Amino acid sequence: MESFDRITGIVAPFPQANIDTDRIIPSSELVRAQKEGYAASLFAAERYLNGRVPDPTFILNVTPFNEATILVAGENFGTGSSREAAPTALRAFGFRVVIARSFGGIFYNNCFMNGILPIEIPFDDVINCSATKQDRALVKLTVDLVNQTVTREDGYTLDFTVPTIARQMLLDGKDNIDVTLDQADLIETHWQRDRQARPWIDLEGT
Amino acid sequence: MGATYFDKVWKQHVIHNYNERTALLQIDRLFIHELSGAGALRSLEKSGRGVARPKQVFGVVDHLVSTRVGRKPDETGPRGGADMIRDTRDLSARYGLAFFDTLDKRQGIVHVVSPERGIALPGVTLVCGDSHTCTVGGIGAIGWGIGTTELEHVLATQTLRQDRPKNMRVTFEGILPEGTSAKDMALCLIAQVGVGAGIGHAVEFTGPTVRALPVEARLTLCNLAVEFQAKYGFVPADETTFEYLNGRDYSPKGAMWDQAVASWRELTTDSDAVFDAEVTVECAKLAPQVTWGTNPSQCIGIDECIPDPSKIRDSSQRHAAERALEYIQLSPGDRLEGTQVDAAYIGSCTNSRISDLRDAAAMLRGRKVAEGVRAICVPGSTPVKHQAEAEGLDAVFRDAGFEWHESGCAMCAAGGGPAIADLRVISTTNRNFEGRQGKGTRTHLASPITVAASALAGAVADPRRLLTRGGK
Repeated sequence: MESFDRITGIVAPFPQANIDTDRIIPSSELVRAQKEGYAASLFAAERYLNGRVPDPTFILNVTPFNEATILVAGENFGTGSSREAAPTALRAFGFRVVIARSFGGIFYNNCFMNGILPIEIPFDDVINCSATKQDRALVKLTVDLVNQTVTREDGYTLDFTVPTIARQMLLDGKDNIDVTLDQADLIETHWQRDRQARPWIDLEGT
Repeated sequence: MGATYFDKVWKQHVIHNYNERTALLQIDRLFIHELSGAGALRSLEKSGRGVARPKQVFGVVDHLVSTRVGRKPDETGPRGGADMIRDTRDLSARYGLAFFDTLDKRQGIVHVVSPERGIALPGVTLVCGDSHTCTVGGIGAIGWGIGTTELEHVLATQTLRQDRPKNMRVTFEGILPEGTSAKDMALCLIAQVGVGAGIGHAVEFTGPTVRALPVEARLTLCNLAVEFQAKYGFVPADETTFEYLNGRDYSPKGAMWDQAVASWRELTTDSDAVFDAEVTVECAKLAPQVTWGTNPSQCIGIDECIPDPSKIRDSSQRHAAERALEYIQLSPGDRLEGTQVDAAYIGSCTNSRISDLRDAAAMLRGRKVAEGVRAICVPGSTPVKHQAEAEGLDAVFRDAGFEWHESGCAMCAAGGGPAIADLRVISTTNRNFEGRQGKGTRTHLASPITVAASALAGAVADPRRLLTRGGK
């Protein structure tokens, strides 16, 4: 997986709860994106006007948010479909970090696989003024995975945690499957022991 | 302190604990389909790795395949993807995986097929690149949805690294009133607890109402666990489960069946087990549920009025509700009953099993769909379709004015069925998200009989009115 340690970047604010993966990448884009790349499919249903002309009012079409690397959203971000195309499209657009009070569970795991760091911090703690939601003021944050901190421009620092293994894999950019195969002997031992206890599980020979 | 059903299944599958939070789990069964499977198989092929345990892996064609009667093996809906069907088929053959192809008599929606064939069993871990894999919790399996990278990981290792969730118990009390079903129970629960309440939890469904449900209804209930963001939702197996599974293709046979059942009878939540969260849902006065917004918690009883978003205190949830009403083109205080619909859809991994089709057909028999309403029924699997045809249900649907299709995911996510963009549709599916069923499509989730009654009325309708007139 792609490694991550520390970035400073522009924030794209999405101040709503429950933004689902069908919104992040509509199902109508899933086949197309495999052939044409994922960046153009991100938020496709709301990012374009008819004829796939960029909607000038949509946040990611507005300078400087088109260069945002950190997305900050309302709670339960990435709820819904398990489609990994959602974090893939976020990464292809340029995002490295998503911040929300909570995440859909499958999306949360999928983020790490795509080199995106998901951070559980409420929207209002990061973007510390409600006016920002309307004004789309430029906000920059520094995200540090080594020290597990998010630092605002005013110097205020927030701590966060992510699972130890996922953090280490992201820092090292390790291959997901290689990490597991370090336990190859344990995997085989468990399988053989389980075959004794639950012989109906192993379908070899059926 | 005792252990929960989930604790026991988890413990049985832990190969290695990395720390208190993360474990490496054995995966007993893996399902793939053409939408998430093709990418994982291609990536695995490119890596040069093989499939660790091919006999534990099963494939279906459901998400992109056309549901047109007379379809060809690679035929898709308007959004394409024939190459994904072909790659899933070809790579499954190369790796020696069981594959229920388009024209196979076992074909169907993955979460309908896995219990139907006896591949999902009590106490197994079963994963698939599809969030509704929790459906198999209805059989007592621990199933959950994964991404494509995790899917490749399971293919290569037959394991998965997972963070241990907390335990939640949802107890349903009371006898289900006439005109309501497991779908209404689940929607009512989600409206009660909120759309994010299950984050980080494995949810055990229990209580007298659940115990009285047949297996197919339990599958519907568990299907919707992920709609309040519980990755795992399940009903511990009992005699109802064993009766359902006995004799199915992949269920254990003979002495091994007896051994399995004996083991499953032991697999229960201890009476002194403590849950991290407890919820009770009272069903005695449950009304048919219909969603008014763009997530499944935005749901009311059919005789209630749409709530006022300005009364929601949390600003991000208020934003979400305001945006939902704008999208769905309804106003606070409106009644849902009587809202005109353009289409009615019966299908999906939520509500497309034979019992769902029987319930809907009972409402449709001898009646006609309202003029101008496009009504579509897509059976959940080819065996369900054949069973329905053997019972003459296809004729009931057709005579009423419903289209009758081959099995697949079809219109649930704007896949292999006809496009229904820009319409208002009442649907037995599980997601009313913006654009989920086509660009601009406004979805109202409901039970099969509520959808059938609404198709007849041409507007959101209360199925109980037809029941009390002796229509059933």
